[in-house]
Amino acid sequence: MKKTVMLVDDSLFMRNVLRGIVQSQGFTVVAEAGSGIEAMKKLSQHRPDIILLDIILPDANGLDLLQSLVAASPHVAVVICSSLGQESVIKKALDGGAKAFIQKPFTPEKIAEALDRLEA
Amino acid sequence: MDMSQYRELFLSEARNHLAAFNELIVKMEQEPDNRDNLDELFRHAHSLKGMAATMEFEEVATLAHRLEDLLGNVRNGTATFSSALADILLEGFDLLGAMVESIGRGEKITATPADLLHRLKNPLLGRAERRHPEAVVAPADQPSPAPPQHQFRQSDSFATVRVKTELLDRLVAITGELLTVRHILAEQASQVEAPGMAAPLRQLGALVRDLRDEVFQARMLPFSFIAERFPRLVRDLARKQGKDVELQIVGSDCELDRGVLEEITEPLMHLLRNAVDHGLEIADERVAAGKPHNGTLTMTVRRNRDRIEISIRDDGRGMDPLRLVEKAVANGVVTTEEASRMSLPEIYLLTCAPGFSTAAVISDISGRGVGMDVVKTAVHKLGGVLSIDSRLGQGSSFTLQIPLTVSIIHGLLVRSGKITVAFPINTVERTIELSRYDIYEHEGRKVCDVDGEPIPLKNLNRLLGQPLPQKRGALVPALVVQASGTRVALLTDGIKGQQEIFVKPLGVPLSCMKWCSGGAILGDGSVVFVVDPSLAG
Repeated sequence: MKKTVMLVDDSLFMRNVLRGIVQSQGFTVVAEAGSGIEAMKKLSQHRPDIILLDIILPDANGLDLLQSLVAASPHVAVVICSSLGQESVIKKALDGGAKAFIQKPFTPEKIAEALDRLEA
Repeated sequence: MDMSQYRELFLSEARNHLAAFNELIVKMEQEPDNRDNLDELFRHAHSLKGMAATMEFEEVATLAHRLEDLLGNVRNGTATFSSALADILLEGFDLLGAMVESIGRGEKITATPADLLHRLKNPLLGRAERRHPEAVVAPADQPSPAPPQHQFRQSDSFATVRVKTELLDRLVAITGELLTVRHILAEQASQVEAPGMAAPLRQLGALVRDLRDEVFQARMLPFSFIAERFPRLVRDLARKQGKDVELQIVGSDCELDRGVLEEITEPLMHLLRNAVDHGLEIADERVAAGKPHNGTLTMTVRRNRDRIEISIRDDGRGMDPLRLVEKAVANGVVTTEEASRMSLPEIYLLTCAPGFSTAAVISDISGRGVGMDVVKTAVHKLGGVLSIDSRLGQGSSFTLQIPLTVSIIHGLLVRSGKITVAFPINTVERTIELSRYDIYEHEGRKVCDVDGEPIPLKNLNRLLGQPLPQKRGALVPALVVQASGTRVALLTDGIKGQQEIFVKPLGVPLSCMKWCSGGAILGDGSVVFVVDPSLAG
C-alpha cells in the first residue's frame, strides 16, 4: 500500500497544487495544515508516513517545526518544500532530520522523484 | 500538469496578499519599529512569489521577488524603512495588483518598467514618483477582493467550499420568492374551509424563516473586508496634501450583508476623502490652535440591534452652522424663513442638499458639500439614515445607520389613497393616533405633540400624490419617522399591519420615484412600494 501524506503550507493554493501532484502519484493525502500548531495537532490525529513542509509559516519557522515533528513522531519522513534555496538553509533542514529538500517552484517530476525515493 | 484549474484560487489568494500588504505598509509607517509587521510583509511577498512561480507567471514572480529582497534588506538592516521606501514598495504592489487583475481578465501581463526594478534594487537612489496615484482607490467595477486572509488560513479544505457570490444572490432571490409564495398560499387558504392547512402552513413559514436566516448568514462578511483599503486611501491622500493623519478603525469584525457592504464602500471612501481634504488642518494650523500636530480620524463600527452604525469622526476644524446657513440661502437651497426654523442636525444636513456645494463654496466651507448628496442618497437607498454633528474648532462626525440586510425586510404596510406602501419597520419609531385636537400650529407649521415636544406633521397622501380622504374618523393613524435628522409625524389612511416582504429593485421609469427604494408582492398578488422615509424631510 502507498504511503500517506500530510501537507503543511499556509497557502490553500499551494496545498491544492501539492495535493493534485501527490494524489496523481498514487499517494493518499490524509491531512492538511496551514500553521505549525495545526500541523502538530494533525500529526498525532492522522499519523502520516510523509510530511511535505513549507518553511515560512504564519506562526512558526518550518525548520524549528521540523524538529518538533520528528521528535513527536520519529518514524515520519519530512520533505521540506521551500523557495528559500540558500545552502545554509538546505543544510540546516537536512541536519534537522529532513529526508529531502525540494526547492519551489516545484514540478510534478521533482515531487514524484522525492516521494519515490522515500518509497524505495 | 494543467495548472489552469488552480487559476481562480491563485487569483483570490493573491488578492488577499495584496490587500494585507497595503494595510501593513500603512501600519509600518505608524510603528516603524514593529518587527512583526515587517515579518508579515516579507511573508506576503514571499508567498506571492512562490505562488506566481508555480503558476509560471514569470513577471509577477520576478516583481514579487524584488519586493521580497527589498524587505529582506530591511529585515537584515541593510536598508531602512522610510516613507520614501514605503512609496516604492506600494508602487511595486500596485503594479502587482494590476498584473493579477490582468490575469483575472485573461489579458497579457505588462512587464515591470525597468526603472521600477532598478529603484527596487537601489531604493536610496531617489524618491519615487508615484506612477499610479489613482490605483489607490479600487474602481467600482473591479472585482471585490476575496475575504480576509485569516478566513481561509483557518479553513480546512475538506470542510469548507468556496461559492461564487452570484450563487448567494440567487439563493436570496429564491428564498424571497418562496416567502411571497407562502403569503399567497396563506391568503388562498384563508378563503376556503381547509382546517388541515394551518399546521403545514405554519411549518412552511418556520422553514422559510430558517432558510432565510441561513442564507443571510452565508452572505455576511466582516466590515474589515472593505476596511482594509481605507488606511492606504487615507495615507496616500494625507501624504499628497502634506498632512499627518492617523486613521483608527474600531469594530471592523462587525458583520454585514455583502450587498450592503458593496453599497456603502463608495460613500465611506467619500466621507474619508472629505475628512482628509477639508475637515483636517495642516500641521502648522493645528499646532497654532493648540492641537496635536497629527490629525486623527476614527471610524467606529458597531451593531445596534438589527442595524449597523458606522461613524467617521475627525478632530479637525469643524463646521460653522451660521456660515452653512448663509451659503445655503445664497445658493437658493433654503429660504431665510425655512432656515430660521431648522435644528442644528438639519443645518448640518444642508451640506447634503443637491446644489449646496458650488465651486465658490468649496474653499469657503471646507468643501463639505462636495458629493455629500450622493452619500446621503446611497444611505437612504439602503433604508439607512445619515446624521451629522460638528463642533467648530473641534471636528465633525458623520454617522450612518444601516440595516444589516436589505432584500428581505419587515415592512409596516400603510394605506395611502388608492395604494398600499411599506415602510421598513426599523425606520418607524412608533405609530400613534391623532384627534384633531392634537394638531395645532407652531411657528407657522402644523405640528403635534410627541413625548411632550411639538414635531412637524405631514400628510402621507400629499407626499405620495394620492387623493385626500373625503372624511376622516375621529382618530387618524400616523407614523413617527426620522427624516433629515428630525422626527416627523405622517398622517395615513390606515395601518394594515406588519409583514415580512421580499424587496426587489424597480426598473425605469418606476426607479425614478425618489421616495421609493423598491417594490414587493403581497399574498393577494398586489404590489407595494417601499418608502424611503426621508421623503418627509
